[in-house]
Amino acid sequence: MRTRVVLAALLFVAPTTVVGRVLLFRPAASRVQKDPAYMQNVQQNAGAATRKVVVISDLHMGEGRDPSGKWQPYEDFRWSTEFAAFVTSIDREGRSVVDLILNGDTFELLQSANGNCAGAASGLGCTEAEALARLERVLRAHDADLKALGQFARAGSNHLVIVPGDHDAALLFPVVKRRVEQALGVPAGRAEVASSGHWVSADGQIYAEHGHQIGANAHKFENWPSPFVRRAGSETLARPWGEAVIQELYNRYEPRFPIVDNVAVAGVGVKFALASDPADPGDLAAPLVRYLLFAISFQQFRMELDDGDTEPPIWDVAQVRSQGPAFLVSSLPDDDRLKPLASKALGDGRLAKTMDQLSDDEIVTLCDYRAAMRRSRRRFEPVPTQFAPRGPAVTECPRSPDTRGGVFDYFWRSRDLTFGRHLEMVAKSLPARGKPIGVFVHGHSRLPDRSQSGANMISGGLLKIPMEGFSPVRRALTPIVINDGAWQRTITPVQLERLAADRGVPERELFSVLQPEDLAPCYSFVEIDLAAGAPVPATKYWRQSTAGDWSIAATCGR
Amino acid sequence: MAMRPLCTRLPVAAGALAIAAWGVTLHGDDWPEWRGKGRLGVWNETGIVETFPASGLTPTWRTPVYAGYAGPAVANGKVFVTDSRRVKANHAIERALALDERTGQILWTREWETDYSGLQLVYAIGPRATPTVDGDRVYVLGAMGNLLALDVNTGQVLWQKDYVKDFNTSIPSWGITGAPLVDGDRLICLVGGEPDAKVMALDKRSGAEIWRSLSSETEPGYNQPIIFEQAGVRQLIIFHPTGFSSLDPVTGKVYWEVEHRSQMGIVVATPVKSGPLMFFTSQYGGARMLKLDESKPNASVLWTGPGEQDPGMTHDTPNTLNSVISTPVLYDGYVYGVDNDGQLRCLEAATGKLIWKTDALLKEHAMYGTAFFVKNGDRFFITNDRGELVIATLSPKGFGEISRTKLIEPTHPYVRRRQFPNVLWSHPAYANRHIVIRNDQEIIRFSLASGS
Repeated sequence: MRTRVVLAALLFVAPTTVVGRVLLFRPAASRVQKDPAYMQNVQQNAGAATRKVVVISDLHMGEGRDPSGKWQPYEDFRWSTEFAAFVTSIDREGRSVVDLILNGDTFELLQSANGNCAGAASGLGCTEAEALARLERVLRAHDADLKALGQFARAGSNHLVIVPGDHDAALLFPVVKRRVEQALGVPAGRAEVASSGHWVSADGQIYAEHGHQIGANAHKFENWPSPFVRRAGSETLARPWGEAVIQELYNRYEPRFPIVDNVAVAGVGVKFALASDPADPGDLAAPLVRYLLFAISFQQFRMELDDGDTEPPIWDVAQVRSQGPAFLVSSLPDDDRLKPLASKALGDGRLAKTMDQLSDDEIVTLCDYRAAMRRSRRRFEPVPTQFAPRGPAVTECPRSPDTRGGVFDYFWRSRDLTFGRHLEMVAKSLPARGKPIGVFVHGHSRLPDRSQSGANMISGGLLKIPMEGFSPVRRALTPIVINDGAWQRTITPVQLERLAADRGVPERELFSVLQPEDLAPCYSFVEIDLAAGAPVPATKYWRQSTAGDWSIAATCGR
Repeated sequence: MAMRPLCTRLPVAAGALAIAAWGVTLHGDDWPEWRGKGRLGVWNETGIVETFPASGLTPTWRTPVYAGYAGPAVANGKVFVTDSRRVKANHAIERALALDERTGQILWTREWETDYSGLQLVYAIGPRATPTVDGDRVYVLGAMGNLLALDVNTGQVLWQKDYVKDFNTSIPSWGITGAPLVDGDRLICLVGGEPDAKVMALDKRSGAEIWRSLSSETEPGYNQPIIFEQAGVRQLIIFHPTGFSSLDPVTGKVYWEVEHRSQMGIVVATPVKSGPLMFFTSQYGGARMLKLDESKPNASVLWTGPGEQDPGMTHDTPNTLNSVISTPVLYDGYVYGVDNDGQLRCLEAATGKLIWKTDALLKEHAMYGTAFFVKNGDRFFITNDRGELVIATLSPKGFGEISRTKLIEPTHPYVRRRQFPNVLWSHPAYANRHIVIRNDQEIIRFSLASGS
């Protein structure tokens, strides 16, 4: 790791590119950091070079059990015992000098067994009062978890930050925020909700946000961190279009398919539900096709060979647009579970307006995705997430004439552009202070980033350095963007397919009977080591061994 | 292999001079295509050196060329080779050259522009395919699928095709490599075109399409078409990432196929045949020995060896023989070849049982070790990726090195090289008691005649 940091300093490239300029901005303290108690706390530990940062996200603590003692179908956080052990473990390992960042969606305040908020019919979220009422039910259900967090925050010079995500954006209501801080029951400055909507370390080198505000995410709020609209003199949570679509379907499917939102990448579980229950979602079909086409993980396209040193072609976006909505359907391989619905929606005209809603950047993203999919299928490449390596390929988008011919292996253009722009925007928004952002942590998608030994290389391919996460600056080692996954039990589509094959049961049957408790006891998080001076992140897992012991591991062993 | 008087292949004046100088009429073989005539890796000439002089071989000529993996072909007194030079970014000019076999003088060149964007750039140095010579035509192929039929005497373009524009090919990461194969009036090409044009037969005189065969649902791979006769039937064998296909070379109709999927499209080593056995090997897919039916065109799998793509396997896990680039030898009941780890191995052909393995050929144990084997009598002439030529015997008793000499500097860039920064991955030509070998800077001819 030390070698990598030194090399990063020596070999950083491309500072003059748009993305590269990100590094030249100097982010500074957030509102959280300006908290006097926190700053005092940090100063007290200024000499402690071993301060650790641990980032987890997507706990989705819900309303717990129903009166009969059964889990509510929407309750995803059923892991109090191992969570308490995890928090104790990181406190012990970090010698109580740990920043624990709950990086969004700690609380499930969107989905409730007690029905929708009043504004749902008009496309809105909850009012402050409604959100507070939901929170109270969640706090009652997760008293043990809040106690574990409070105990952590009181120990040594630990510090706890709760960053709001899209499912708990209601934490940005002042009353809701205060209620959570009160529930933690720790002295001021030791724990807080980040009303800035993000967290940044004292020296400015580590930045964390949930992830739903990145790029054209379907869950993005217009005015983050003020995700509100004013109605009748009071503020109500806005509701992003993707949220409305996917939440409606989760509400519909989760009682029958309990792991529908445990499939990584988030949203993809709906495809399995559609395959198991092909009832037409009606007006939701068009936005669902759009949503799921973009619910992809760039991680699945990591290179297995070398550094992906070839340039991507130029897609002919005008020609793509001329294909109309048929382009959307042709972007799905024939074995994609969404294909039947997408084809039907195309046939009856429901997709007619969808192409017009896509930006050129989004079309390029889809074209990059198609090319990556095509390559992996044409070469039987092992794909770590959504697709089995064997199956029909899709066609490429049309290219500009002078970029026809070669396949290419740099599929990261859209990803790098998306994160590069976002980092640039973040850096600009932060007051100048400290060092540039070295590590950017996000969650939201369920699937953690893994070491990508092949995806990032430097010096023209002669030196290969394993890297956690990725840098949106091509062939550079910083800034590092890393996805912390979800502190949840998850399963990928490929794993689900394998499980069905291993058990010899139809996938549909398996999908309807699996409970979250049946999934691998393994929870991802990101740990950032500061011992070397520059932050070095690593994806880790809180994993139960076959003997029943819990420990931190480098992989899930799945 | 039929031998023809060398003098019939040289210009009259040069031939007369040669005869006068030598005083006797010698018989020589040409090397008109990949691995010599029939693509068999067999060199039948006699009167060849037993050992190399301690001081090494002296070049009869050396001529500067640009970069490329393509080995030379030799026919009718000419050496044909292709090369490439970058002119700007990924833009390159590829070139076919004809050289006087006796002097190395460049007789003509033919250039065409290309762009290597889309190739894996560290390996995008130039053409891969050995030229194929057929009478008065030589067929050359660029890394991006530019196929040209040229007049052997003038370099004039008789016809040309662009795989991308004419056949809708997606060029794979390591370029187009399948050297065209002449069969009667047909030029059989591994195209990877769409739809259903993984392999095509073109009219060798006009370039007109005669047939197309096999789906391009998968990449074309990096192999060489080859024709074998079995059960009284000539069979065109295509080793591609989905498996092995036997086609009627006249019609493209599929005789038989054995599914065997190899990741990354990396199927490079040419299939080899001995009697009813046919052997295939690749890094990811592993090894397959097929037994061909002796009464009709058909085949079955005799044994299999695991590949890197198989569960639990890596390039360090015990296997049979997983060659990345090197075409193995199937000879007298045994398989000899270089594994991905650089070891020379001997397997029992009937079972796949490992008989022996050694690092003695490449002198190091490392990934992507490569050597090219050519049989001459009961000896093998082997060029390795260190630029050495080795004379050796191969038998179940072991690797018997007879003599070794350094011929040429390895110059191909390579990302995982061991002792040296570069490798030599170009197959040489053995013709008229000489070896002709190239790197990315020059092409050299050495005499291998006894007493030279």
